[in-house]
Amino acid sequence: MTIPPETESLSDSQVRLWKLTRKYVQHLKREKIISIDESELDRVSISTTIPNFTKNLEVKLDGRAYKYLAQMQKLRGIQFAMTAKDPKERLSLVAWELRKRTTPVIFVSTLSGGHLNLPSTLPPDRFATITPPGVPMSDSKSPSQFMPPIHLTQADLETIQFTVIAKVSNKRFTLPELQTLLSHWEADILSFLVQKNVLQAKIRNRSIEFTQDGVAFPKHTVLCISPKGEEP
Amino acid sequence: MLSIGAPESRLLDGLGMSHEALERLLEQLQTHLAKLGLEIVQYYDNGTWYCVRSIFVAPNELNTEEQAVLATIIALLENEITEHKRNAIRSKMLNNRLIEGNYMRSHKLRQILSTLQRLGFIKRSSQGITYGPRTLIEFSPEMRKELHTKVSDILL
Repeated sequence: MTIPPETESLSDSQVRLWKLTRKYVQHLKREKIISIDESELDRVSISTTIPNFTKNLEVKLDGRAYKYLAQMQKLRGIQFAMTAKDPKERLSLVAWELRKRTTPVIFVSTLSGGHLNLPSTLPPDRFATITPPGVPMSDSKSPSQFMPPIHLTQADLETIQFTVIAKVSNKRFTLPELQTLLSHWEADILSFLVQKNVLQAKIRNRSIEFTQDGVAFPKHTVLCISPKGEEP
Repeated sequence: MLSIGAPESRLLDGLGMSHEALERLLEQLQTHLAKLGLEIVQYYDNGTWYCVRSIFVAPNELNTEEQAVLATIIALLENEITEHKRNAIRSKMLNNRLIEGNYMRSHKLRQILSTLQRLGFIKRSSQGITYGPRTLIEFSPEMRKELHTKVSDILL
């Protein structure tokens, strides 16, 4: 686009600005770049039309043209930065953006070949210090809090279950003793074993006795073992 | 079909109480659950649902590629909702971005979509791909909008 003549009429300026804006809209929609040189000429030509516009609609059109110039500049910059990146790197970036914004549900599952979500870098006692209760997790976006899951085989999962059973089977504990004995995820596994009736639990006088192949826990009663240091 | 939590209508029928009484009850329950590191979450999926969610950080269940596909789906869906007032995207839109953009192969994408559906992050129907309950729980509307902006910039 060339610099307009000083003798250009108001209506011609409006048409020129309208065409220029439309050009940028179409290019932005198709994510097609306009070169820096061309954008610079367009910017100069827009700046020369400003003194002529006084009506609200015309001023808005002028503002919109600058907005699209800025968007094109942003698109140019991003494309330049991203073309230097491998597609795999870009996918990793996208995955990171998602991880930053997620509040994942704790999900202990024996499905998918024993894929178990356990923290790999922080001991379970430290869970309570990461985000104080009551603070929404979306406020805690520190990268140090993102823990990769541990992938377990079915054999690993069974070993953990046997360890928990060996710790509690045919024994009676008070609630504080149980809280001290079990880690956070062992408490989850124990809840799971009781739910599946692998272990049976009886509560009597604020103590719990666990047995195997004993009387099943009443169907609609809920056993809830809280993390260490918390009141159940 | 995976469902997380309970719909409000079932809770009201089962408990035989009014909407206001249910809200008060849930507030009381929240104070007890907070001691266990849990909170009650409300989300909308063909009606109001309530579920229990952990307050503490947990690792994400998805691997990197699955996270990237989910982020792309969220970005495309938010665009459809904002620009075209539609709540679903066609598989073709996803293929255009990821397969024709040379980010992954079609069989890999199909596998990942099956995983995301099984885990409850997306739903697939004749209308296309829509949000599953887990996406609605784990990503607030503000986070989904942010993802739309960020992912659109990265995946050209």
